[in-house]
Amino acid sequence: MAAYLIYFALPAILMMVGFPIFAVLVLTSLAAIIFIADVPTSAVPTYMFGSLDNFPLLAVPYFVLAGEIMAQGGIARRVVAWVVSIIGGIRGSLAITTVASSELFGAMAHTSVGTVVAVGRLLYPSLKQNGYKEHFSVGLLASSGAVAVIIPPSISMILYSMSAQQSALLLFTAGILPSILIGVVDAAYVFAYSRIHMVPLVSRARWVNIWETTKEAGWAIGTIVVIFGGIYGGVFTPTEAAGVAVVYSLFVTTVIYRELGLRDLWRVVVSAAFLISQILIIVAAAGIYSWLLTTSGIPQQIVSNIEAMHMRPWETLLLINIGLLIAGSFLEPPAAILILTPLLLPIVTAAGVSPIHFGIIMAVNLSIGLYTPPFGLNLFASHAIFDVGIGQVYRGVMPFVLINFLTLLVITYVPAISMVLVGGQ
Amino acid sequence: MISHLERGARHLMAIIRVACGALLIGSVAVNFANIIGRYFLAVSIPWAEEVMLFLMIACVFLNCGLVGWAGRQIRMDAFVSLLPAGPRAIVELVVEVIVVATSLLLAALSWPVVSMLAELDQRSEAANIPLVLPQGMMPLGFLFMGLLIAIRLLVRGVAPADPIASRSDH
Repeated sequence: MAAYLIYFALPAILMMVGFPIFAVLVLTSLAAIIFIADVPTSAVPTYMFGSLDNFPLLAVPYFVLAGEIMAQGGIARRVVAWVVSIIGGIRGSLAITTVASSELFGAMAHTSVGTVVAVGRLLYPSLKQNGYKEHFSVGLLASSGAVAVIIPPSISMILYSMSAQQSALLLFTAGILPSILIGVVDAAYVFAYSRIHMVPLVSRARWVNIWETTKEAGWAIGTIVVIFGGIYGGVFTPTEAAGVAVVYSLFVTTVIYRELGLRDLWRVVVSAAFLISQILIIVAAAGIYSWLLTTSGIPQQIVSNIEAMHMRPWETLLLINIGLLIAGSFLEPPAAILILTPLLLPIVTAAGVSPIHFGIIMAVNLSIGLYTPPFGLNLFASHAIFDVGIGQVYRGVMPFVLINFLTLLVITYVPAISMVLVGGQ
Repeated sequence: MISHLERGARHLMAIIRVACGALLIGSVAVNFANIIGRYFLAVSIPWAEEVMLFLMIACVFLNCGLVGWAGRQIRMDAFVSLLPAGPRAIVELVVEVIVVATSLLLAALSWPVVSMLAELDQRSEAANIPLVLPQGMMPLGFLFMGLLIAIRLLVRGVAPADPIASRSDH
């Protein structure tokens, strides 16, 4: 009983009181060491250091830096202009463009709020001018941006791969179809919305425009080719691909587009270093917490208890999905993944779910959590960026929460969507 | 006294900022050089992985001070932000004081490990770097974090909660 209080009740209370997540994990671990576990306190710094001394983790700082460079250096603007030029002439094309741009930029920048900011600043005024209601436009942008958590190569997947000891490459591959499915479902919804609300048609796509924007965005789109071509072509490991993405985006933004001067670049580097520390200090603290939790035998006890309840796998998954959705609306994906994976993985594995499939389920849940009222991060970001009342933002995202929850259920109960590309069912 | 403290903190942060920027750029440079070497010259740098990891670790721990000063550690502030201003300030103050204590405790707990590594002159396998250097970044980082948060509390009091600024979404 004392162990459950320390491992679960204590961190829950500390989090609710507003402690930084790393401090929650450290204080919980110290409490566990002092009151339950037979472990010296010197294990705390040793495990914290050891958690960071992990080569695949290097992809995180590089992807963060590459994302910052792309967001500041004009790459986002060109990618959005390119997608706008291609999708035209059908009712709802601007909203569909928003979905497609978010998927594309999410794959390049790996940050949900960054995608909302980059795509939103460029498309929000046009959406409003072209007859889309304010709440719909904001809801669309807030929810589309969250796909960055799922679409490979995602930082959340790298953290999950580390926590669950799975291949990051397999997770990236498994995330491809689910992220496309989410994009298609969102696009279908906005298409239907546009027809029902008779949103005016925008000008038809023209080859001249497409050619012009393709020329302009060619180098920007090349980022995708470098990252995906490098990883899936077997040329680079994900970590190397992340490093190459930094150098490539640096080259494109400073030499080709010339939108980042040395001073801007230094600002971007400093800001990326700040962000990296914010994320990876949690990885360090989660190392000791997850080691103590795993060796405590609690996850195994929970598995036995769930087995004793004779829950069917679909019931277990439904319960976990609901729990993750709630957790995701309070906790950012990195923190949620690092805290919950050691606890949930044994449960789902016992229910016969592949750890790779569960990684995708978790990422989709946490991405929906980012725009689930009342506390999802993208809601506050959209409220601030678009200067729209929080009530309007809530109203706008609700249909997207609903349809993406249904998509989540499909992804959960049809493992083939995630597993077919990695050669499993 | 207070202005001296703030000035000192700003100097320290400027040094940390430059150090962390340089560490990150250095890490990217080593990674790129290793890729170029491996794919174009068929020569890889044997110490590259170790050095990149140590640079990243140093960057993470050293930057903790800046994150602490800005009060932007990732946290769940949804519930605290619902409290009225007075009680919220008290809760935030208590939390910050405990975070300062935790940071200083972590620095103290890391110190024996660092001294032992220095005493035994343990070195990394590939790069032959004294392990005291990367491992020493941990007590240093937590010391900076504790110190800078404490100075911020003395100089500015509890910073106002910002639901976006304190959270990250990757």
